[in-house]
Amino acid sequence: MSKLPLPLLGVAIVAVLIVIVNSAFIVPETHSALVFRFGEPKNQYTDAGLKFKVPFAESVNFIDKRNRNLERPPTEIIARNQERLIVDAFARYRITDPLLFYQSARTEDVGESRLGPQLEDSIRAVLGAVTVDEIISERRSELMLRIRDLITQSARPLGVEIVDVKIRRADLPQTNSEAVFQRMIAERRQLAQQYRSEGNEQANQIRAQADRQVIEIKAQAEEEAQKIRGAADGERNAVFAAAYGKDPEFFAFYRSLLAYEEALQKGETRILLSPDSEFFRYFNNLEGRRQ
Amino acid sequence: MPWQDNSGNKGSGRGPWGQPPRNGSGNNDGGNRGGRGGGEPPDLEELLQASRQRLKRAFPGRGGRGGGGGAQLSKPIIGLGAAVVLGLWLFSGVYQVAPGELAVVTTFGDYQKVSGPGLHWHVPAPVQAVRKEPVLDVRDMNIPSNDRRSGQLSPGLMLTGDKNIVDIAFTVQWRIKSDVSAVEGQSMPGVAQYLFNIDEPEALVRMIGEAAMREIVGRNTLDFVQTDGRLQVAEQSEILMQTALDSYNSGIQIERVNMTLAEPPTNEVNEAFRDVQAAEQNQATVIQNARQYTNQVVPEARGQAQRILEEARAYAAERTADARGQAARFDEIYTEYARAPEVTRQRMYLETVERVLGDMDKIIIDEDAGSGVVPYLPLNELRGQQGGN
Repeated sequence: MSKLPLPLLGVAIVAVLIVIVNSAFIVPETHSALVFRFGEPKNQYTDAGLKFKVPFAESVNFIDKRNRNLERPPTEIIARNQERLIVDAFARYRITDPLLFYQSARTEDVGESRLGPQLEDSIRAVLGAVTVDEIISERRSELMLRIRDLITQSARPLGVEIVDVKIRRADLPQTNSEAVFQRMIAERRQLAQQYRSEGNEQANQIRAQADRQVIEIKAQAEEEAQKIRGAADGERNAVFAAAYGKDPEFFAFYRSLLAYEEALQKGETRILLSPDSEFFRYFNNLEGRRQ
Repeated sequence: MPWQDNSGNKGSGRGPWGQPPRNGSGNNDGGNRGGRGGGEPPDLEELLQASRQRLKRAFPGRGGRGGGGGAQLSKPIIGLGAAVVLGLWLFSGVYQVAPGELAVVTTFGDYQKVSGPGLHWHVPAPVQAVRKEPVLDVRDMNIPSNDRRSGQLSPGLMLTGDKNIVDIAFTVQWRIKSDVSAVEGQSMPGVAQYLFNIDEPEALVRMIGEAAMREIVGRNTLDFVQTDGRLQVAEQSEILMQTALDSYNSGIQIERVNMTLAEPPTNEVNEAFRDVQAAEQNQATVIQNARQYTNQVVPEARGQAQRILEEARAYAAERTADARGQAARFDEIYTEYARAPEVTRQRMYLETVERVLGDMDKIIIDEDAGSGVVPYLPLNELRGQQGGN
């Protein structure tokens, strides 16, 4: 070693390095590697690690093998019942056959520009055959699987596996949305009116019941009161009858006297008397003889 | 000699890269050391270049001292230099993983292992490489991201199962999965999947979140989404998101989905909704008023009824007592009368008439005295008449 001239040693080391750099290459976990010899595919590595190739003669191309996103701008579809829907869907895909993909598309961008229309066609084909209700709620996940299966077939020549298709948005077009808003408002107004009317209905019912209760309570009280009064009057009669029954004639006399006294109160009462009356029996006549 | 100093430092356990270069020649060497001090593994070419420069420095030093025996002296020095270089290279593989981080080690790009927090060593560059990811950092993502602008429809509008439209906003909290070893049936742990299996994780979470939330909202009614079902809708979409992300082997863990908004789509519709609430309040109020009315008039009526009854009882008490009193009085008088009926009768009559006529204006007319003739004209009576005129 030490006999070798220093510059020569440097040159040798650099040359070896250049060869190493040109023959060894690292395949990352995120990509597959394709090795071409003057354009002719020679090798394909889908696993990561340190790989080798013939220096200078062979070249390497890396193809992404991750789960990638495929997006399309929202498209308006016409569902089976002629209703329109704006659908925004995306697909997740993986390049499983890098060589096939490279041969048919070269780069990921080109591949996606071919997959995009396929995705759109699949969406139209599947969603056009069902109703809006089915898309929105009833069979959404099933329809997404159907779209995936459909695009899987058309994507196979690209060496691509469609992992999943998801409907990101499925909305009504603007004009239809306005109609929905109006309907919602109408529904709410109706509901509000119903609440108010029901409130009045119940309130009236409660007030009427209260009024009835008032009348009932008073009437029952009146009934009871009349009974009490009647009983008292009856008792009064019984007491009187028991007392006065002893001598009806005297009672008539006694009661008449009481009545005179009560009825002929002093004041404005004026009386015309005959001197022949019982009161004046002795007025003209000492013996009290009747004239 | 600089490297001897360096090796001496090494022996005393101090980090060689912490020291500024002793020879301070300001060449590439210093720059490289600085770079390594930052934890970046040096690449092979740089290392080789550095060792060549060490050799260059070694040879002139020897040449300056003495010509002849230089070749013999340089051998151990070269060996020592190589050892130091090797030591430095090996040391560059030391790396530290902070708490809450996981480090993914690759050998020539090939996934090797995941190491947790602590001090570790990997075969230095270019053989192995390390990437650290904060796996416990929970990231928030607001969907829809942009604020609502007035005059435009909200981007969070979605159709419900009963074909209404609701305005939804929600927050997804997510992080990288923190398992150190691979789950059964998987080739690598979550953090490695996160690095190697997906591109643009943020965009992925956003899209999956939108799709999942719309799917769940599409399955439910407007009322449910807006009121009782908010929590349930969030939970279900969280499950749906996690399922999708797991099926992509994305290594993403959804921590929580929070619904921050579930409202009617436009101000106009919102007002209609508010009016319903107002109507409910109105309903409660009029019913309450009616109850209040009931509570007022019924007790009043009961009071009145009580009054009617009491009045009747008072009447009864009064009338019966009066009757008994009168009867007793009659009884007394009758007892007296029975003893001497004739006399008592006369006396009673006269007494009564006396009392009755006593205070009265009296005109006594004798029929026998002839018509138009007044035998007695009481003076007081005439005076009373004149006074009246």
